[in-house]
Amino acid sequence: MPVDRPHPPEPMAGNDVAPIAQRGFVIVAWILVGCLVVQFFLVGLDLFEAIGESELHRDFAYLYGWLTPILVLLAMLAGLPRRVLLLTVALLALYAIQTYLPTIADILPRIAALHAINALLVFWLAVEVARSVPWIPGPTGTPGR
Amino acid sequence: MHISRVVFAALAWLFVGLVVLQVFYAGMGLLGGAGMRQHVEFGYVVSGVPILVLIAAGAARAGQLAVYSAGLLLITFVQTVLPLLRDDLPFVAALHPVNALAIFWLGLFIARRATAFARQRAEETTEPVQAQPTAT
Repeated sequence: MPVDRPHPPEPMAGNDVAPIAQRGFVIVAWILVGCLVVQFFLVGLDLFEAIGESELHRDFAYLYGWLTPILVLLAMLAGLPRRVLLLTVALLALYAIQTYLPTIADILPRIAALHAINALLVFWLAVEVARSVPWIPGPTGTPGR
Repeated sequence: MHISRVVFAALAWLFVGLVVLQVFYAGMGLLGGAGMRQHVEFGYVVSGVPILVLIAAGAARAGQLAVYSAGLLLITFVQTVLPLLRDDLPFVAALHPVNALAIFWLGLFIARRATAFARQRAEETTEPVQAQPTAT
């Protein structure tokens, strides 16, 4: 009696695109993590007025925010496992919420205050996503693990 | 020995929870219109917990985790000092949120490892004793 074994995730694109997309995913994911660390430093600069009154923190967020939809695109092109794809979509969603929260500070201050906790969550998720994909793809263009 | 490992893990998770609450207070101060007083005062409460985590790690003989716990105590202490430098060294004081990230990350790392450490011991003690073969 044949036993149904789980199939490895099928790459959505050809084998030549998937490994490149996977490496691109790893690079972009770690760049995002780096940007988030810088972003936390910019909060400090604004908070302690190290460079006078500025909106560096806000402006920088819009500068690197587009990395999250690119990650989703690369995850699909690389044919990454469903779990990683879902985590990447969750990261995009949390990032969108993150940019929205400060805009409701006047009407819903307690909800807007979640901006700081959500920042921790975005960082944690970004590191999880970056760590979950190996640099070298598996033999069929699928992730190595 | 096992209880000390459970206490160690519980204290590590308590610290992570308090850090999250402290970050919420920071958000309340910045965006919630509550001011920073609550964040500052609660900060001194939170900064005391790593001492208990370190003691518990020592009691549990957690080895390398005890070293990490000492590191957690150190960066938590640094965290309370950083805002005091805002006038003299504002660029150093600006590391306060980055250090908060490091505290959260290291706290989470220790809590996860401490949980595995406690479970490891629990599995060792609850492992069924194999019956000795008897001659018939």
